[in-house]
Amino acid sequence: MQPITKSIMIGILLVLVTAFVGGVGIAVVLLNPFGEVLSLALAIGLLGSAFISWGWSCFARKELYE
Amino acid sequence: MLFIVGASLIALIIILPTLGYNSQPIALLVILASLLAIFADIYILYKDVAKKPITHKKFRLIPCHRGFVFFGKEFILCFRCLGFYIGNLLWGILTAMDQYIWNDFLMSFGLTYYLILLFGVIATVPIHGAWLRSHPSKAKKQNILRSIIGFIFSASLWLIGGLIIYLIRGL
Repeated sequence: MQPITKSIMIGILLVLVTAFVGGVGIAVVLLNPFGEVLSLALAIGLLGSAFISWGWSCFARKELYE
Repeated sequence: MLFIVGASLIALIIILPTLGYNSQPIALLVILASLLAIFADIYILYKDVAKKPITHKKFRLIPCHRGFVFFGKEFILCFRCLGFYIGNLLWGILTAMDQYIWNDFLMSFGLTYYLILLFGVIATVPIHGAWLRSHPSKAKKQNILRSIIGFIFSASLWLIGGLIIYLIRGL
């Protein structure tokens, strides 16, 4: 697979992970379904993971795969 | 950071069923999202993306483009990431003021238009990113369009959150 194609695919996948995982994190913090502490901890974990995926999707440029 | 988030998510998805939450739809969704996040983190750590070391001098929580100069100071985020984080901050403040705002938004627009808007918002960054990667000469230029793209995409997290809340309450 070409480096550009690979970097585009990884970027798109990580961006979709960001949107889904972050969305679930926001739903958890707003619905508060597992009690305050557990919901907050889950939301922080999910949102943190979403932001990490976002950062790496931006970083996954073709230079990484050459 | 990756280890902390991954380990805490693993611990929490083990805790959820033991507390008796595994029958709720939101719990299943959380377990699915956590597993997806953990797989993404493992992929980042061990497979391809982290293959080359980050050799920037400044500490950064998450990697991004090389810093850009703004008012004489070097910042560590590109314009698109800046738009994304500012957007999330603004949507967060908006939601803190009225936590039913996304549900009200969905009700006033209708599910069909909401989904069209959601897919449009999610598609912005993949299209823009693919275009930038296909045109390397333009990728180095930072402009306000990138911030706007990042800002628009930041709404996707909140729109998906609103959609999940709507579906969970409907069940």
